[in-house]
Amino acid sequence: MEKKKDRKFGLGKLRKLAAVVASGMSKIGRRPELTGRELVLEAFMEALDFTRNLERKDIGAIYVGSQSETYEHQIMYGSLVADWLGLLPSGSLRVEGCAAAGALAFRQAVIDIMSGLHDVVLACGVEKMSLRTTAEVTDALMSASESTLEQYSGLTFPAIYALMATSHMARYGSTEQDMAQIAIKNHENALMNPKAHIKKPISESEVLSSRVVATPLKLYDCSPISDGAAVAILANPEIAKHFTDSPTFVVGMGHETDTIGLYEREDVAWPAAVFGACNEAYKMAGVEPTEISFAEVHDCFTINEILAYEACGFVERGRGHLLARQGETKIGGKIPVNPSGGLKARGHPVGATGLCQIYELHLQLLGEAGGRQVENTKFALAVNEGGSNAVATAHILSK
Amino acid sequence: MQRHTSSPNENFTIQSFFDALRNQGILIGALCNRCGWKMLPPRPACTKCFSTELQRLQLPKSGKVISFSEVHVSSDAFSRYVPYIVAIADFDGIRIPGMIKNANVKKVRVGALVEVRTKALSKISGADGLSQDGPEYWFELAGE
Ligand SMILES: [Zn+2]
Repeated sequence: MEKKKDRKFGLGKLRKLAAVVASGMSKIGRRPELTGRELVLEAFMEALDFTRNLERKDIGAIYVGSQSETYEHQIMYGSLVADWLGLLPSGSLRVEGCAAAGALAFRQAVIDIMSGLHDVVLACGVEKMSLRTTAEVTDALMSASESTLEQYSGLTFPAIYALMATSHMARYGSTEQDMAQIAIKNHENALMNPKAHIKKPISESEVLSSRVVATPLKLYDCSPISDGAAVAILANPEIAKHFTDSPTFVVGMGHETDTIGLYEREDVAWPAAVFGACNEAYKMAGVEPTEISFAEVHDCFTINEILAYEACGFVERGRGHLLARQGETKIGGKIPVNPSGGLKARGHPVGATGLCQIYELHLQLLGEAGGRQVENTKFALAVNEGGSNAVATAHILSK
Repeated sequence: MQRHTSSPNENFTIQSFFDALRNQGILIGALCNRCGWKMLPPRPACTKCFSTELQRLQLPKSGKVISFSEVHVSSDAFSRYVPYIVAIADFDGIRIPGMIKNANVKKVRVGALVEVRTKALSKISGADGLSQDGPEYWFELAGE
């Protein structure tokens, strides 16, 4: 961590960048009855229930994270959502960054509030994936890797994360059993999340014997193909109390980029952009990793949660698997990670995921997370990434 | 004659990489004359110092596996090859991804030596890119 005197923000006092006055999330899973825009509507209507005095015309801008137009043959998701939510003619924009699209939309909303351009902004994320076959989804996700050599050589997304896993295992002694602990924990947490995609406990032997996708990753190391949407309504902290008695606040954020090709990196098992984004957020908020009460991180594949432990500073580099092995990231452990069930079991509607994480942070900080509630929450961290950790964001929220 | 200019060096494009692969059966990159940075595929300007004074770099014959995976589920374009092995290999500081062909995955290790093969060199005719014969370059375990 950087020394305190280097901090650009904070100055010993928490700086509130923006307030989250409401958040909502659709049920995640296979949702054949609803299109993407209707999933956003479902999430938005829940968010409105969190607020009072908020009229739709107050919303000055709309940002919509969406990964791929392949699934619904639909770009212009900004206009689509603004229209379907009755928010015309406020400005809208689709945000793209593969699986980081949702958090990037959220970040843009924070920036609008910070700049004073708007007092109330809506951030959305959505993906309607289940209309497509696994091969089609594999292809759509592959487009987030480097096209000249990686896509050309058949590196699917699971294969790219498998390359991270093989390297981590060879150098640090992590095992397939360690990765299985991530899946088991996140499935357990999702049992207490009524909106989760997968509500089924799994055993270590089930994980280890599940169908191979890309060695060493098996079916239960991979997040599912989900439909879903999530939203957050952000406001200027000065007026947040006008809309709700219980806002949460963004107190730090970070955003970094890495090479698009995994092969170009000095260390394929080190998510440098995640590390950088987290450090930026910690510095801005003036908090240390040890002060984080719980985190939602990007477990698109189990190995990536292990890498995130290291990059978030919860454990030293090369020792992430030990945190999983010791059970320290379960609810009630030293640093609970993915109480929602994570991408793995809450589900991974790609463009929505970053905002599903914000939804979980908001609920947990308000003490409204039910059976999966983490005790004594103060600072919460959300880490979202896109591509093979090629773009990463971190957001720290507080009450 | 390519001189230092403020425009991209057109001899070091992605297209030049595929031209060399198809016509000569070699993988080429770019070496920056000013700072020594190596890029493969080549780039029309040095990523580090932005010089366009570049020279052609040829990949060394053998490299070392940095990481690998055997892919069992893939997209439609690659489903015909499953299971297939993919790897990232290091060739004297230049890293590239590729398939490892004609190998038993049990013999593939991090640190194993591989050599690059290309269609032109192996004289596979009718190469029509990915859609027919898969990637036009790949790795094989050295000494196999
Ligand atoms: Zn240079």
